[in-house]
Amino acid sequence: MKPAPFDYHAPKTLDEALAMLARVAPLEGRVLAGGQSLVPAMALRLAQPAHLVDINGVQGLDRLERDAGDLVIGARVRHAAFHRRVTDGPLGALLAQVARHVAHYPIRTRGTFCGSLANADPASEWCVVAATLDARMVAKSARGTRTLSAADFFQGAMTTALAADELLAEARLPELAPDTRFGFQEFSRRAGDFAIAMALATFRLEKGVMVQARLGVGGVEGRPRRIPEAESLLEGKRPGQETFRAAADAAARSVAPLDDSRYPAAYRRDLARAMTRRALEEAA
Amino acid sequence: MEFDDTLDVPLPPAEAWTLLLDIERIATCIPGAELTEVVDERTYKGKVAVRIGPVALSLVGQARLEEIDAERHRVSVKAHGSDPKGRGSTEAMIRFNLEPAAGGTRVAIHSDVKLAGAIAQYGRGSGMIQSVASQLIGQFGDNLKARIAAGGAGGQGAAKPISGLTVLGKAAWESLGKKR
Repeated sequence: MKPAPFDYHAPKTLDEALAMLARVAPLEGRVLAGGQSLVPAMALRLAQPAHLVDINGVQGLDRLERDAGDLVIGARVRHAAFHRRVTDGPLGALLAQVARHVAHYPIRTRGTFCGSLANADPASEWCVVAATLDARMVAKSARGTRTLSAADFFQGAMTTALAADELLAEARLPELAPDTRFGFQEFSRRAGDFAIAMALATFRLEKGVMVQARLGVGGVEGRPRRIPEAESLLEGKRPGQETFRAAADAAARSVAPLDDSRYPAAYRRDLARAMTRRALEEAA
Repeated sequence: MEFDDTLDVPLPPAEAWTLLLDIERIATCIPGAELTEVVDERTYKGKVAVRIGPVALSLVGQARLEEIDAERHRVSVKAHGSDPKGRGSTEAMIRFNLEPAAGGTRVAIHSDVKLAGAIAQYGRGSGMIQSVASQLIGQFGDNLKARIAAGGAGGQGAAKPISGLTVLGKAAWESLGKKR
């Protein structure tokens, strides 16, 4: 099928883009970045935006660099940019590992990191990374700039705190300490398919015990989030099967999974447990 | 699909009951909702804007209070709506049951929602739709609490049908401003 008619805008500067967005947001205007979720929905005429503000030509949004202890990822940075380590140390390695799970190669060359966050699909890998590592999202509009924590940004399935006239201009991921260990595990029916459950675990070892333990689960609930009940069971403990199993059980107990006929809540809960345990084993 | 949610209202059940049945005021607390016409004391026309990822839907329809049991504080609402762009329609039967709770009143909400047309296929299953519905109920609860805090239960709040999303957006903007 073909999309419904729409007006196409291609601003060159951020100010132009934000002014344009402010004008068309009340008229069902949308930002077009990689278009890997928006355009198929338009082709099916599920999404019928009257205006598209294409940010692919906007200068400065391709920023991908370290700044004040953060990795700054601009709105135009594609998934494929993370195939190679974008930063030394564990963060670059973590992103490179996760990138391989994001859809398929052709999609990764078009879709953007920030686009995934703004779309907030429960099955999005980058959303789990952002939630687990406490990324900060920089939302810009003609009204100004605001910075949102991941906990405030992700509100539910495909729902974020972004207003219609706001652009997710960049995401800031805090750098990880050089000795941070991590594990990422995902379960989907086929390679590249939407994840049914994911877990990301990171921790450091100090005198043989785990510190700064983080555990994020995605795909299971409407939005990705850290699971403090599991993290507290890891903190200060030696890595081992028994501890990992206890944390995985805690994660499974703490989640309120999505429930539908294909993947009932009990199944997703079991997967949350399995992915958590595997991610922790991988990290250890 | 059927699902359950709860909503806590910081008012005693009798007051919460009166407030929740004041549809013209309540409508302004529903995220994205706009009340366009009061047909009679039990029937209301309006539209609800819902945004799920790239899909922005506007459902136009009506809601009717079917059973009102003032004794037991129970009410059921039958609603239907359809997308003017032909992407589908929805029918819902929603039952509200008010019970006294520690902080005032707990409202148990049982929803039975049917979707038809293209929108029924969207979202890879009903789990996502339920999550969005729960989210809307949560936002409604927050708006309601803000309303109660601002005006008191008996306050004569303006029943101007403004978009709940605008209210929410402003509230979010302000709360973030405070944090920084």
